[in-house]
Amino acid sequence: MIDNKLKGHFLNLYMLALSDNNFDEKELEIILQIGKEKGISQNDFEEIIINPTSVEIQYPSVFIDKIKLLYDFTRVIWADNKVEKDEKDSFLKFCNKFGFEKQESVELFEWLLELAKKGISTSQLDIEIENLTN
Amino acid sequence: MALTKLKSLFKENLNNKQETTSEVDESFHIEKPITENYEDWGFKKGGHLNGSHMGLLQCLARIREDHKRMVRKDAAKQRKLKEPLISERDAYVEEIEQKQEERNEIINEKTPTLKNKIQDLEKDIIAIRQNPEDIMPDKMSRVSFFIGVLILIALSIYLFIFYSSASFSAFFKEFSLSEIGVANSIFDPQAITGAYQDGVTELILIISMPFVFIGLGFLIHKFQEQKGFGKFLKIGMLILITFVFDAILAYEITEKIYNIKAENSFQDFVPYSFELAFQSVNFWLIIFAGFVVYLIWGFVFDFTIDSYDKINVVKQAIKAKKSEIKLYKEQLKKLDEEKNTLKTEINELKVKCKKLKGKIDGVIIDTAEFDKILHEFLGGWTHWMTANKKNREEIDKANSKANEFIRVNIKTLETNNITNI
Repeated sequence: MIDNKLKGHFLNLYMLALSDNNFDEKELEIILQIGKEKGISQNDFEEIIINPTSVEIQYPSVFIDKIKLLYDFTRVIWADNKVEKDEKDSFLKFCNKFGFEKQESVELFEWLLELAKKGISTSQLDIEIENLTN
Repeated sequence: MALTKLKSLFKENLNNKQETTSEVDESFHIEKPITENYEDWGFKKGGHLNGSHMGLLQCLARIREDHKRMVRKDAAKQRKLKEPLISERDAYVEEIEQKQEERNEIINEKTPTLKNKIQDLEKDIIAIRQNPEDIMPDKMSRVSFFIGVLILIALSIYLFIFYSSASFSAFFKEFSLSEIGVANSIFDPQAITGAYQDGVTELILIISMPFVFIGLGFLIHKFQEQKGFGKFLKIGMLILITFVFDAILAYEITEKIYNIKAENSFQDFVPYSFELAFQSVNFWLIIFAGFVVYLIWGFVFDFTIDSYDKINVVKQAIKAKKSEIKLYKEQLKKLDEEKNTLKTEINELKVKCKKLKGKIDGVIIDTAEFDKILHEFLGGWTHWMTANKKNREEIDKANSKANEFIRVNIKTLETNNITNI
């Protein structure tokens, strides 16, 4: 199960996909399914679709914020300690949306997944990035 | 795990600190083909997503996002929709400036001017109190007034005694031979007591008689205050009447004395006449002791009133200045109220401007058009569901969810159009 903060981030990501025509309805269904499996109810989704002003939706524009959002998505995926193919595809789709290349996106997923397995928090991500780049 | 691509991605983005702008707002294309209407598109999407109500909500949400983007990009339409708002805001701004100017004028000009005036008047009052002689036309006015009052009191007592006594002698007294001297023929110390013994009405007449002459003296003063030549005629008439009245009294008294003498003499006396009266010392003594003193009383009264007016100049000047201060203070109070009202009005206008700015900076969405689009799409969607034998319950649920979506979103848009977007 994911906590409320992470749930908020996931809904944020879902709205991002919803407002982007690069994600088709089938892919949206998959994100929806991922959310449901990790403990986000259909009502939560309906509520945010019907009245997006009820939650604060933030679209990341800065590189590091995109990485953090993708890390939150990875944590959601790893919440049940397994990774489905659809889940990884959705992650790659978001990477594509953020303008990352395919190979960069694959490596990013693997790296973030390792961090999620270690239980690294989003706030600790800056240190991990520093370690990676040095 | 080498992660070489990832490392270079991080280095590239973190070193350059370059912000890769989100494509959320810029890279969209309208998914619905231009040639297709929303109803047909709804029918097609219904088939694509097998009529699932979550799919329907997702489609409606995407239409909403697309529509917002389209509206935002349609600068010409936005400009047109915002024109009245901009005009309204400009009018408010102008009104704010105007009210601000009025307020500044009150604070920087009107209020200090009034305060200076009040200060000057207060200084004037202090100066008048310290040196009242400066504005007094005659510096001896105060002394003259008190002397005048003293003389007036004394003369009034004299006139009262003289005329009460003289009128008693003339009207009621029976003279005897022992009382035909000059003094006791005019003055009778028992006049009031005698009149009282004769009756109350006689007493009242004797007591009120002096006031006839004092009243005539007062009238001379009042006529003097009038303008024009007529006043001299009136004064002359009054003096003449008084003189005649006095003369009658004197004639009456002297006649009584003459008759007593005639009755008690062995010689023949001619009947008493005005000719004899004019030759009588007593006659003239009564005239002078009464009429001349009456004239003096009139002049002293006039002179005393004149002195009083001069003293009063100081009090009147202070009173006038105090009234002026009161008037200015009332004006100050009004200005203060006006200033506060202007401040409240300016603040209200600023709030209105802020709200308008929010609307002008945001996006104005034509809710009627948006509502039409959503209903068209929903029509197409439910048409597909009906055509594909979906049960009534599912169609109703789709309708219910979609209508809730439309209701909430239209309400939100209307609120945003009214306030901030």
